[in-house]
Amino acid sequence: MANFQFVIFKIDDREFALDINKVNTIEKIPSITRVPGAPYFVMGVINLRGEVIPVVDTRKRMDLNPRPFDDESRIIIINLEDCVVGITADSATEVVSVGEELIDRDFAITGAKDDDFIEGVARLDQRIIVILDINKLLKTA
Amino acid sequence: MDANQFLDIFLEETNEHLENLNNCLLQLEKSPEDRELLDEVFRVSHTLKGMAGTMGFVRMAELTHQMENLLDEIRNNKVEVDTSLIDLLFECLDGLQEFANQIAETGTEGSRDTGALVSRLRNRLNPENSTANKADISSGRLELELNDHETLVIGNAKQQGFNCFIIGVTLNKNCMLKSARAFLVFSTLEKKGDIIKSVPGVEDIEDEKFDRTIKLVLITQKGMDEIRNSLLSISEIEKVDIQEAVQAEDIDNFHIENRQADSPAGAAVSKERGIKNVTGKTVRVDIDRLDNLMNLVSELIIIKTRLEESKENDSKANTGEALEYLERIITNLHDAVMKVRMVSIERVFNRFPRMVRDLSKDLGKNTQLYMYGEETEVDRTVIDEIGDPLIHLIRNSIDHGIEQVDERKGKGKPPEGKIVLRAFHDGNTVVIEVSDDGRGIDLAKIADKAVKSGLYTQQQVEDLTEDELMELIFSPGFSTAGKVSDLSGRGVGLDVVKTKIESLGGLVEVESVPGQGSKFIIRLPLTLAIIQALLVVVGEETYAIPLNSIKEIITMEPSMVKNVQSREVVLLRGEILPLIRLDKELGIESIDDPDKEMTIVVVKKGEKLAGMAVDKLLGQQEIVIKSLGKYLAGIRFIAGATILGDGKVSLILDTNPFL
Repeated sequence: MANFQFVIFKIDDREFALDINKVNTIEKIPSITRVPGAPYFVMGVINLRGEVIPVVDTRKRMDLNPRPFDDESRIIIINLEDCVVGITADSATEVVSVGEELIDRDFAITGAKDDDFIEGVARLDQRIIVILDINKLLKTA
Repeated sequence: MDANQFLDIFLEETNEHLENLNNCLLQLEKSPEDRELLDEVFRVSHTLKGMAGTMGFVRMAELTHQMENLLDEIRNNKVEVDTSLIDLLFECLDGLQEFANQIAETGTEGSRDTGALVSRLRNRLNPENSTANKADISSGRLELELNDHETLVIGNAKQQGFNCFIIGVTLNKNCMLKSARAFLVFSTLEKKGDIIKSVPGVEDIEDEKFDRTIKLVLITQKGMDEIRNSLLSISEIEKVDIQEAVQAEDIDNFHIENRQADSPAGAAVSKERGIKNVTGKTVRVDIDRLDNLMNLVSELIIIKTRLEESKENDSKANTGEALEYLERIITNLHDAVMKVRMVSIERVFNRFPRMVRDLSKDLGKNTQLYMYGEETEVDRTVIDEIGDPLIHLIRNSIDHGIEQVDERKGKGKPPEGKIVLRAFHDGNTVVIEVSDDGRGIDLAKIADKAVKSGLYTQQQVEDLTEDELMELIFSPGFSTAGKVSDLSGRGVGLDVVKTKIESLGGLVEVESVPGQGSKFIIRLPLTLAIIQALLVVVGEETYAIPLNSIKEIITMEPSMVKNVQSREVVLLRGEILPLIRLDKELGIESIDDPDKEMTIVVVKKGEKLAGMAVDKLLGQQEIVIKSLGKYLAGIRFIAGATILGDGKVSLILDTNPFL
């Protein structure tokens, strides 16, 4: 049975999962420079070891209430096909391995605000983890 | 096919050789008697053939092989060098270049048909045989795999006027002594000609390790029917298929089948690669420069140790000295890295002699290109971008500038038109000039055209200065060519050049003396990666404005701002400038006191000016331009980003949209 590895990050008390192959690194929050004229959910750009990388405000993208950064806040740097983008998270703590049989890909919460970005749902003991479709989450148009 | 890993090297060397070939051919045309040039051309073709063969690019190898044959005949004084021959060789060069491009894009040489070119080469070599080669090909194809050597043998044999047949012999089902029958087939055929290949091989046939069919390749002077009859006279033969072997295309087909059969994995790889461009951008670097870089990096390591030591000893004097040293090394390192990125402009210039030659031939003009300063070094980024604008300008010169031979003679000019391409460094910029001794730019014609195309009224045109009139040729949709030719006159030329050069942060000017020629002058920054910029603060954010788009900086009382047609403007020495409030444009809340004296950065785009109100100036600084990446591509006002000394990202303002 195939196993998938996911990076788990939290927003409020909800847990989201990202395919580990897409995740480059997880960073603390550096200074962010606002980019005027960028899509509303792009917080700005950061300097990641000499590269300028755009950061997406995950809360804004999911239409959730803003919350100031704290010590736990992280930026998850993600490799897309032709660019690198960071997304914000309240915390990112864990990497889990989930068997294919525990993943429900037809799952949909109708009416939920973040419905569009869901690729599937994984059940892990008592936890329900939402697997994000990162391409949809980061789509600008 | 592990050869894929050598693809980059192959392409790079191929392009180098092709460039060399191009130069040699151009010179050879001028001095056809030069043996050394001829030898060089021969050597290059030979090398290319070898390289293509090794990499399995069979069509390319075949083409170069035929070129080599022809060149060899020239060397032996059997064929004369004339214009049509040079033209043919140039066509071969183009063919090879196309192969190289195809390979660069897809990793395979593609299915481009060079058969026509190859047979023209052959005809040139052996005019009397040219028709004999085109014997009929029977429709049913016999599949047979040939290796390079065999292909060459066949090719050579055909040139010498032999027939080549692929023969399939099928024995009777009930045949008892298969090898004996096969032996008879062989001995019969050997009386008629030479068998260069058999499938299965001779040993297998002797051991009866074959089914009922033998395939053979025969080179003979006899006809197809004679061979067929002699074979059918052997008993227990069921069927004989004979097919004229191998026109050039067929050789290639056999080869391709051959190779794909050999390496299904390799074929799959090339298919996969077919989607994307297989080669990255590379720069060839002089080894001395790399050594220099190495040295500087070792210096860095030494200085690090020194700093660590002085930290332990807590000696301030030492630290200060070490820091100073460190700064010097970093400056040198910066220079060294920049030099690594530098490429001589020869790479762009090299293609022009050929272009000028072809164009003047097409247009029936006599033009000579002179190039100076090819060794001038420019950043790689500039090299990639400057080619097209230059092509435009040179075409322009040949098409519009240089007169027909008769006209030149009538004017008392030498019949040969002259185009000069010159590159040189001037301070922090590179200057490239394209000048010709043609008819020059006719200002009256421009004025006429401007009125006719409705851009200006007669009155307005009369008020324009000469310089302003001259500038008009860079306007979109403007062309003074009497008739639209294949090359120019469509009015899409010079404005494109101007836009392109300006997007590179450069300038283009034109000077002209009617009747004596014109000169286009392009000025470009040495590199596009590092620029001088002014750092300004708006609200709490810091932005960089490229220095080359800034005209000056002024301060002004807020009361000086006037409203004209509901737009804010300021007066600068009698000129009215639109005022742009950066805080509003960028969606920032200015924290400055609105009654305080304003700081205004006057930015320019060509002749247009505008004032930008900022809160504070931080000063001038060299900045390294970084792209915002694809994710944030196409954002207005922002040209890129840079990283400041404190590690924070600052955005670079693109002032053009404001103007």
